Amino acid sequence: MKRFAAVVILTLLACVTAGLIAYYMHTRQDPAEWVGRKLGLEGIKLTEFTAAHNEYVVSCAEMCRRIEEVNDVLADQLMVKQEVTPDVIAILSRAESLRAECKQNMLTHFMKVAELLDKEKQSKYMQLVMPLITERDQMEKSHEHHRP
Amino acid sequence: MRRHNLNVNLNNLMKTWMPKEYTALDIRAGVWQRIERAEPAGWRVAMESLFALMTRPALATGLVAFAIMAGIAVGTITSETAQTQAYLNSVAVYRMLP
Repeated sequence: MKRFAAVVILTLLACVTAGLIAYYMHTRQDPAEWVGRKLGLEGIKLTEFTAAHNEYVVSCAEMCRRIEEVNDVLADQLMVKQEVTPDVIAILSRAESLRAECKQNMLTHFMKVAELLDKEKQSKYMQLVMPLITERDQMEKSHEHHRP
Repeated sequence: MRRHNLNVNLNNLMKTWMPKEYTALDIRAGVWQRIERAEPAGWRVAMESLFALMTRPALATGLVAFAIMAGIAVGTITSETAQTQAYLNSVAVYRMLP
């Protein structure tokens, strides 16, 4: 019985250790580089893929900062006057146009990096990223309960 | 005197004793119960043979090797999901905004 328990413990230990090592080995890579490799990119094309990603991430962060700024202005406006003034409507429109601009930039980036890929991998990549454009975001999801 | 007392006690005890009547069915059931107690249960035998089998060095080594491969497979699949999600989150930060 003791030998059996030792075998079971050793087996479980081996399984967990192997799993953790495999997980660590795969996740220590940069996600963009990992996706690029997964899509069959190597060498210069992989460098271009990650460079385009890093460039895009900077502009994306800038857009997010602008959206947050507009959201803060909107919150301030609503604190002062708790009514829907033309100013509030203008700020809401501004926030929405920034979100639309974000999506447009994202789509442009996806198209740009997809050009680095083979035809087959292009469609695979677009299938992976398209839901980010077409699916509902956090705000829309928070209104899910109104949908029939 | 002591002997006489013992006899009286024994007589009294014999008067109060009500022997249980055993039927043929009771006897048969008792016999089967004793047989069942004497023989180990089928699942127990199976488990014991499995324990014995798994402690064989060759099989134990194979089992550990299989566990390592299973662990690598699970770790790889989980990390792939995590990496893909990390990439998607990095390109669509605006979606996380309220």
